[in-house]
Amino acid sequence: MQQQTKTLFIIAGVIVLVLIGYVWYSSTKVPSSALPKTDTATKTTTEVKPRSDVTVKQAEVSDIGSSFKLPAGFPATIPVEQKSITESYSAYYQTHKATQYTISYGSFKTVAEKWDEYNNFMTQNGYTIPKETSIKSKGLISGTKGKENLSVVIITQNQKTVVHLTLLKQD
Amino acid sequence: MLYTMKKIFIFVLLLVVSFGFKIGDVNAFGGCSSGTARLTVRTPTGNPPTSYPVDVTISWSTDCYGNQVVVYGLNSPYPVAQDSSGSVTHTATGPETYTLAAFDGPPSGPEGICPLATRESCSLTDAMWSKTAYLLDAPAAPVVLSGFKVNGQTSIVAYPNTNLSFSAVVPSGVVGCDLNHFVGGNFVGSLGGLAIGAVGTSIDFSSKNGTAGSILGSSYGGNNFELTCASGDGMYIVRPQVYVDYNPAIISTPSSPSGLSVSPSTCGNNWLNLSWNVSPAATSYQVYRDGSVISLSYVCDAISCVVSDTGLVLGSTHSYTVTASNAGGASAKSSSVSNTVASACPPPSTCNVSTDTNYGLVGACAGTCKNGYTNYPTCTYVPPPPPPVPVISSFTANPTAGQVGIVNPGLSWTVTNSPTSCTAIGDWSGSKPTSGNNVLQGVLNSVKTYTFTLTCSNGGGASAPKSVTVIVTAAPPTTATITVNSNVSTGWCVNGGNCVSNSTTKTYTVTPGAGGSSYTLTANDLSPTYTGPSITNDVTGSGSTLSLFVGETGTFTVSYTPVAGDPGCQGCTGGFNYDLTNTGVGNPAPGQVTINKILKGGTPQSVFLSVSSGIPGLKSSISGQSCILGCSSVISFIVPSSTPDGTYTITVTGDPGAKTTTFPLIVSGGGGGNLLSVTSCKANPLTQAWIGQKVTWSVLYSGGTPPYQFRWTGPGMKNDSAWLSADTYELTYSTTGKKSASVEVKDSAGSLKSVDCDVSSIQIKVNPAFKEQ
Repeated sequence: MQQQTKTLFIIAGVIVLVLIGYVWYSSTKVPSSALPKTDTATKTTTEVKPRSDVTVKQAEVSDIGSSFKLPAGFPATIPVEQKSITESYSAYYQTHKATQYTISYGSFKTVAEKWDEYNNFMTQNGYTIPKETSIKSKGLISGTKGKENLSVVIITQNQKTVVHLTLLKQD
Repeated sequence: MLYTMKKIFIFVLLLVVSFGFKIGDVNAFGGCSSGTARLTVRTPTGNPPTSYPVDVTISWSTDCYGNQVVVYGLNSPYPVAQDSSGSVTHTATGPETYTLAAFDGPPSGPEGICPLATRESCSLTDAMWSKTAYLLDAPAAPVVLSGFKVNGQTSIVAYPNTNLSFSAVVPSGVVGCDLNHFVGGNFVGSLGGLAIGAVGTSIDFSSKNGTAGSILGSSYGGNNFELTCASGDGMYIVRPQVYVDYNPAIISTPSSPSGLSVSPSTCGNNWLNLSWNVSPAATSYQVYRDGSVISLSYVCDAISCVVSDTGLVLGSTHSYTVTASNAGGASAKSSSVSNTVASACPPPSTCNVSTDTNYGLVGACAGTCKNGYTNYPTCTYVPPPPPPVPVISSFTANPTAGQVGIVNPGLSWTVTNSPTSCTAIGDWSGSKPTSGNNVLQGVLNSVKTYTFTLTCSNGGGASAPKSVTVIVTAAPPTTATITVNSNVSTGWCVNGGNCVSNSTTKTYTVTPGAGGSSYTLTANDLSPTYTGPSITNDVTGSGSTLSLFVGETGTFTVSYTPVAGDPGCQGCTGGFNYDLTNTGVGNPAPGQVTINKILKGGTPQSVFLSVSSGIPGLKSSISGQSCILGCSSVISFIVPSSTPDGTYTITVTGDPGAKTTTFPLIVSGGGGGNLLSVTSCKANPLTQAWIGQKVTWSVLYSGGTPPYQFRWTGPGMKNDSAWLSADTYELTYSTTGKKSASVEVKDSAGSLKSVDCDVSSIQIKVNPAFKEQ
C-alpha cells in the first residue's frame, strides 16, 4: 500500500512537471503559420567576413515572429513590411563614408503593386529616378535624393513576392 | 471778512506796485543806452574762424524798444533785423561787419527822424548810437616769397654802377610789396613800393631802382635788400628777407689769366685743348685764336678753366690768348701760347676685314677699312668669329600633366644668340621655328610621360638640347566590376536584370553613381535537388546586396547544398554521380574512340553523350548511348576531306550533369579518309628462314602525308632509334629461334603509328644442308 502511494506520488509529480513544461513550451513557441511565408532559399546565410573597410551590423530579431528589426538608422519613412523582414543589416563603408541599409522582406502584394508603392513613395519624396533604373517589368526602381540612393529590387520567388531594399546614404 | 478784504487789497497793491516799478524802470533810467547794448559774433571755430565758409551767429541785446534797434550786416545793404534783442545765423564766405544801431524815438510813439518804413535808407549818423562787430578774416596761410633774385641770382657780387634788377614770385594774397635797402644791417631807405599785378607774376624793380650807382655809390660794404609784402587784409606781413651782397673789395678789372696752355688730342682728332688759371673776381673770359675772338663754352672750377677748340684742320697750328672780365671791365690778354692740331692717324698695319666694312674681302684688301683708311699695306684675313651658340633660354609645356585623350599641351620656347633653325626630337619631331608660343601638340592618347626635346643651332653650332615632359595619366575609372560565382550551374539576376539562366560564373561591368550604387543578387531556387542558395559577397560578407563605387570590385558567391539522393544533383554525396574518360582516337579502331562512363554514386542511369569540336562538318556516330552506367560508348568520326591538317580538341559532354572529357584528334593528309594507318608488318620469308638467310621485314601502311619515316626494333636489329626512309628492313639472323619485330611509321604531318609484327614472327632454324667443314 505504501509502495502504491509512493508510485502514485511519483506519477503525479511527473504529470505536474510535464504540464509545467508544456505550458512553458507553448508560451515560447511561435506557430509556424505565423511566420512570414518567404523564400527559405534566400534566408540561408553563411557568415563571411566583410571587406576590411566595411563594418556590418546585423539587425536584431524583432518581437514579431522571427522577422528582423529595421537596421539602426534606417529612415522610418521608407515603406517596409516589417513583419516579414528576412534580411536586415547595415554596412558602413569607411572609405566612402557611406552606410548601406539592406532589408529583404516577403509580401503578399504583387511585384507590380510593390513597384507602384515604391514608385509613388520615391516620386512624392523628391527622389530623382533615372529612366534606366525604373523598370517595372523587372521590378527594379532606383533613385537618388541628395546623398541618398534608394534601390529596390522586387522579384517573385517560389510564387512569393520578395522585396530587396537597399538605401545607400553618404555622410 | 474784513481781514480777508485786507489781504486781497494788500496783494493787489503789491502787484500794481511791482508792475508800475517795472514800467517805470525804463522810463526812470532813460532806456536804450549804448552802455547796456551787446553785439556779439560767434562761429563754431571762433572769431576769426579757422576757415571759410563758416556759419556765423550774430546776437544782440539792448534795453531799447524793439522798433528802436536795427541790425545791419550780413553783406546786405538793408537792415536784417529790428528788435531789441535777438540773433541771426547765416553762412559767411569771408570777413563781415555787423552794426547794431539804435534810433531815437519815443517808447511807443513816433519813430523820430528815421521812421521805420524808411529806415533802410537811414544813415548811421542819424542813430543815437551804434556798435560794430566784425567777423574777422581767417588767418592767412603763411605766405612764402620765392624766387627773390637780383639780376637773376640769389646773390651777386656788385660793383659801382651795377644796374640791379630785382624780381620775385608773388604768392596769392599779396597786394603790394616794398623793397628796402640795408647796409651793414642798418636801414638806408626804401626803394619804393610796387603794386602787385596778377598773382604769381614776377615783380620787376628795375624801373624803380634806376641805376645801382645812385644807390650804391656811397654804400660800400654789405648791401642787403629786403622785400616786404602786405597781404590783402590790410595787415602788413614781413616776409623772409632775401639779401643781395655787395663786395666793395672788387672794384677793378680782373688780372690777366695765367697758366694758359694748349695741347693737341690724339691722332685724327681735330681739336686743341685749352686751360688757364682762374682770375680772381673774373666773371667771364674771352678766348682769342690767332688774334681773333672766338666763342667757346669754357668750364671753370675754383682753380682753372678748360675748353676745347674744335673743328680745326688736322695738322694746323694756332695761337691762343685769354682775357678775364668782370663788371669793371676786361683784363689785358694773357700771354700767348700755340700748338698744332693732331695729324691724321697712320694707316693700320692690318686691316681687320672681319670687322671693317670690307668684310668678306680676302687677299686683295682693296677697298676701305672701317676706320676710313685705304690701301693699307698689309691685309690679313681674319675669319669672322663664329656667333655664340644658341641657348634655349626657356622651354615650357602647359599643362605638364593631364588625362589621356584630353590633354593637349602647348609648348613655348625662346632661344637666344640668334638661332637659325630648331629641331624637335623625342615625342615630337621635325623642324621647328626659332621661337614658339603655346604650340599645341594635339591630344595625347597614350598613358605615359611624353618627352619633348628641342635643340637649336646657328653658324656657331647647336645648343644644348632642352626637354620638357608631359605626364599623361589614365582616365579615372568610371565603372566597377561584379563577379558572380556559383558552385552549381544555376540562374541569377543582378538588380532584377542582367540575368543568366544556366551558368556557374559571370562577370559584370557596372557603372556606379557618384555616391556609389547597390547591387542585389537573386538566384534561382534549385529545390528539391539543392537547398539554398546561400548568397555571400566579399564586400559586406553575408547578404545578397553589396554597394560599389567606381573602380571597385565585388564578388557574389552563390552556394547550393545538394540534397542527397536526388538524381539531378551534381556531385551529391549519395546522389547520382559519374565521370567520363576516353581512350584516345584510334581505340578500338582508327577513327574511333571509346568513352568510358564511370558510375561514381547514386542510382545507375543512362548518360547521353554529345560531341563538339572545331571541325566543321565533323560527323560522328555514338554507340551505347542508352547503356546504364557503368558502361562505355564508342564514337566513330568521319572528318571532311576539306579539313585542314592539324590537331583538334574533341569534347564529349554527358547529360545529365554536363560532365565532359576531351581528347585530341589529329587530321593529316587531307581528311579523315586519308589518316595515316599502319595495318601490319611481316617478314619475308614469312614463317621460316635459315641462319644466314636474308630476311626482309616490311610494313603495310596507308594514308597520311608522305614522305614517311620508319623505325624498327626487334632482335637482331640495330635498335639505335634512327628513323629510316625505307619501309623495309633487311637482316640475317645468326641465332635460331622465333624472331619478331615492331615498326613505327611517322608521316610528314607528324602522325605517328606503330604495329607489332608478332603475328608475322619468323622461326629461324639451322639449315640442314649446312655442314661444318
